[in-house]
Parts: sequence; C-alpha cells; structure tokens
Amino acid sequence: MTVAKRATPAPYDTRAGHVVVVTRHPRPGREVAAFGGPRRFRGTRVLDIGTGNGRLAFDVARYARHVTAVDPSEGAIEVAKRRADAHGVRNVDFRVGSAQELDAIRERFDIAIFSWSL
Amino acid sequence: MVDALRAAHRRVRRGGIVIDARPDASRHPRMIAGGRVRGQLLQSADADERDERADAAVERVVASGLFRRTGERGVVWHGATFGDLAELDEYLDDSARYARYDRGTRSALLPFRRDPIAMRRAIKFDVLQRL
Repeated sequence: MTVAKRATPAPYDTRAGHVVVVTRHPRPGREVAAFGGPRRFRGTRVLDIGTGNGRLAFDVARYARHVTAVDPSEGAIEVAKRRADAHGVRNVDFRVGSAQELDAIRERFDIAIFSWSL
Repeated sequence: MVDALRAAHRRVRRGGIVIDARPDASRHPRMIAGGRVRGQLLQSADADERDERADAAVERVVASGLFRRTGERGVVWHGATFGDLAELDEYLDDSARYARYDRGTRSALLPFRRDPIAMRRAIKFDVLQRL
C-alpha cells in the first residue's frame, strides 16, 4: 500500500524515512468556529499551549493580532517554524516550552488555548 | 495541571478567556474501514487517570475563583487516516493515550488490513473566563 505523504511532513512522527500516519485534521477554520468564531479572535493576542506543528495557531493567526505558540517538542516547533516561513505567516511566534513554563513568557494575552495539553 | 492553569491565569488579562481542548474520554475513537465503523479504540488506565486529573484541576481553579465557566462547550471531531492495519497497530503500540482495540474491533478490521483505515475521535472543549 502506498501511503500518500502529507503536504508538510512532520519528522517527529516519521520512522525509518516513511510517514507512519497520514493525518487529516478538521478543515481549516472549523475549530475557530467552534471556539466562538472569528469575532472572538479578531485583533486579539493569543497563547496556544501545546501547539504541535502549529495547525491551530495558523488558523487563529488569520484573525488574531499575534499568536505565541509553545510546545515542549523541539521537532514540532521546527516543523511549525518551517511552515510559517513557507506560508509567509508573520504574526506567530513559535517557542519551545511546556504548559508549566508559561511564566517565562512576559506578555499578557486575551486568550489562552490548551491544545490537548492539560 | 493546576499549576499550568494558574500559570495561564497569570498570563491572561482579567476578563480574557482560556479554552481547554482535549480528547473526550467519554467517547471512544471510532475506526472506519470500507466506509463503515468497524469498532473503537480504548484508552489506557494512565490516560484515564490523566483526564480525571485534568478535569479535577479545572474544577479546582473554578472553585478557587481564578476562572468561571462561560457555559460554552462542545466537541470537534478530528480525523486521522492510517495507510493500513500494520500502521494502525504501530500507532497503537506507540500511543501514550490509546492502549488497545475494543473487543472484536481488530478482527473486524482484518478484512481491510491492506486498506486505509480512518480514525474519528471527539475533542471536547470548554471555555473559561479569567476572573
């Protein structure tokens, strides 16, 4: 069986050079809609905790003024940064860090999202 | 987990919100092959315990007056597709959350072992307001 590769390979879930899981997350915007819609996020400063490869952060960044996205996985943050560069996303700041290390971030936010990280 | 919520409380402005989104342990992930649901996956005891601790942590920070529930909550469905049954087995071996197939699920998937197998799981969310 040939496995279709995703558009943005994630090195942290590949083994021996082949993609193990082909993931189809919710369509872009679906979670933003569930979480209150674009109006909730428009012009806000958002903290995405447990961002992974930044999927939700990119969605939120379409509306937010700025998104700070943290994840303990350096590999995931690397992927997220590459995606941001590839797509010209300038209002997301990806950082390595865990939910317990939020005090290292000095900014204040309008919205914090625990993305599967609680 | 309470520590993480307290840290979020310090970083979010008064009146701001915190969204807690995570897999809904009360709804088992459904495994779909050949266009039909063939069974489900079960969580590990560790994952159940983590979920209970997370729920308790939210209750504690609400009870302590750091946050209030806005009443906005719901479920978003996430999908993942595995290339074949071997890949699903591998995923299950490595998963920190899911421990095993529910009774009869793997045998129901066997006829589709060389086909893509989809997983649909519920992600619950709860919106809290920072007080």
